[in-house]
Amino acid sequence: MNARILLLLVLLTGNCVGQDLNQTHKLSDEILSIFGSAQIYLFRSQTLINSKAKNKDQLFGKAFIDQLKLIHQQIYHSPFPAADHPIKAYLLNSMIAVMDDNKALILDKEIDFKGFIPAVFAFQLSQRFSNGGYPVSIKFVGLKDRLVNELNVPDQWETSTLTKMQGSHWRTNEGFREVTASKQGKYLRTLQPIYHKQQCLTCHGSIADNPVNKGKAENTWSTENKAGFTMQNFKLNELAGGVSLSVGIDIQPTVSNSN
Amino acid sequence: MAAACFLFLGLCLPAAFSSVQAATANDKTSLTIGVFDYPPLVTITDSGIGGSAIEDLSAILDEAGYVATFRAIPRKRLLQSLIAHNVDLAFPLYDNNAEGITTMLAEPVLFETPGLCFRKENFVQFLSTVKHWRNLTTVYPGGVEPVPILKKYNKQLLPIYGEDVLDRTIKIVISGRADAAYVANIFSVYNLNSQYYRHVACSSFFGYTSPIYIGASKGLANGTLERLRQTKGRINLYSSD
Repeated sequence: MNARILLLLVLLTGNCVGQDLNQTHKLSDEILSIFGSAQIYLFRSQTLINSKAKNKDQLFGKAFIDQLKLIHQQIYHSPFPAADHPIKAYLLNSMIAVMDDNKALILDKEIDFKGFIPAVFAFQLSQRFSNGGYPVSIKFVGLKDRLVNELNVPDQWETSTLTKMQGSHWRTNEGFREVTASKQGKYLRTLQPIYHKQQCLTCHGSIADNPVNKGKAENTWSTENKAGFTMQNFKLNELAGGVSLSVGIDIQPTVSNSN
Repeated sequence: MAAACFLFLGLCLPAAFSSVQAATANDKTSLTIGVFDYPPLVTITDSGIGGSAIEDLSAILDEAGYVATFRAIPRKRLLQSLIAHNVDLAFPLYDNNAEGITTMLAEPVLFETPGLCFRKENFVQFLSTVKHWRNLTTVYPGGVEPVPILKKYNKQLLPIYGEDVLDRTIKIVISGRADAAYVANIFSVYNLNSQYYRHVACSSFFGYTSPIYIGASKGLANGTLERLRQTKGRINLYSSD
């Protein structure tokens, strides 16, 4: 009983989250940097996550957010965004909730490879965050013809943006942002590219990059990575896909509208 | 009841105060909540309706000044019952956009994450790799609708029926009579407080997470919804086994 974990802090904010374009730009940047910090932190924490260490407190609750603040400072050279907006507060709460949901797995000493990788965190977070009743969604998208998970399929806007990013004239790391319109209203959409770093290639690179093949004769090499997926033959710094964010401009939360 | 008090208010009310509450409960308006069997949050047996969500909902309504009356309704009829205002509230509700209803709280109260539970030595980390589970004998609580990918690829999918169906389903896997158990929400089975934690580990199906709401009828009297929304109540996903 004393270890009961609360799934959801009910945020009865009642706040208006509608905002103008400038505010939406700022909010989008902040959401992406928070999300990016979490991805990097979880990538760096894989050894801890898969270890039998007793103390994994830094992966949960406020300590987790504190770690993200450190990463944010290192990567973005700016202070961590304040939780001064309902959407940012909901994002942070959602992150803590996803880590809590997976606490049993992360602390399970009988399982060596947990499989709690940044992509799994991102997926659970995006589901939770995007279903929170706010006019915002965030997700990973892959290249259409090289998807591991078919649910990461890009939509038309994302496909067209990724195609531009694959072009030789696209500046590395440069995101793309524009206002789009739909039946629900106007959205500021951002796609931030992700490139394969050296450590990504152990699962997404060539068969030769697969650590399970290390020291083995080439004719015995496995095409399957640690996670059970086929190696995808990506090269170092090749475009992997992107983080796709969509934030409503002057759109109220759906639930408040219906109320 | 003490557990529910702890859960919602962060403190346990003394037993004496509980009896005062019971005396004043007669003056409170009753709200009917439609529920279906959704273990371990809602369990419907011959002896009545129970489960941690029942305690939580009772406490939310109590805090708002209402008395909760629960009515078991088949899953497929719950939404219609809410639209027709045969019930005031409904839980669990998957669809928050249907005509004629709203939700009690703005945000989902929990996220249902379906997946498979295995004995720990057989744990499969990523269910996107169909070949790792397509040939496994997989049991699931009858009445739960397995995700489409499981129904499509697993040819040995067996429903389990009867009382305490979730418990029996998991125990079939623990005993080795099946390889895997499909559950509607892995986090209610695989958490640190679960009695199954020592024996099983669960993985989720990517992409099938569903937000779950407490539905509210638009026919509710003026002010009722606002009073409910002002409570600090929470639905706790994890039961203390």
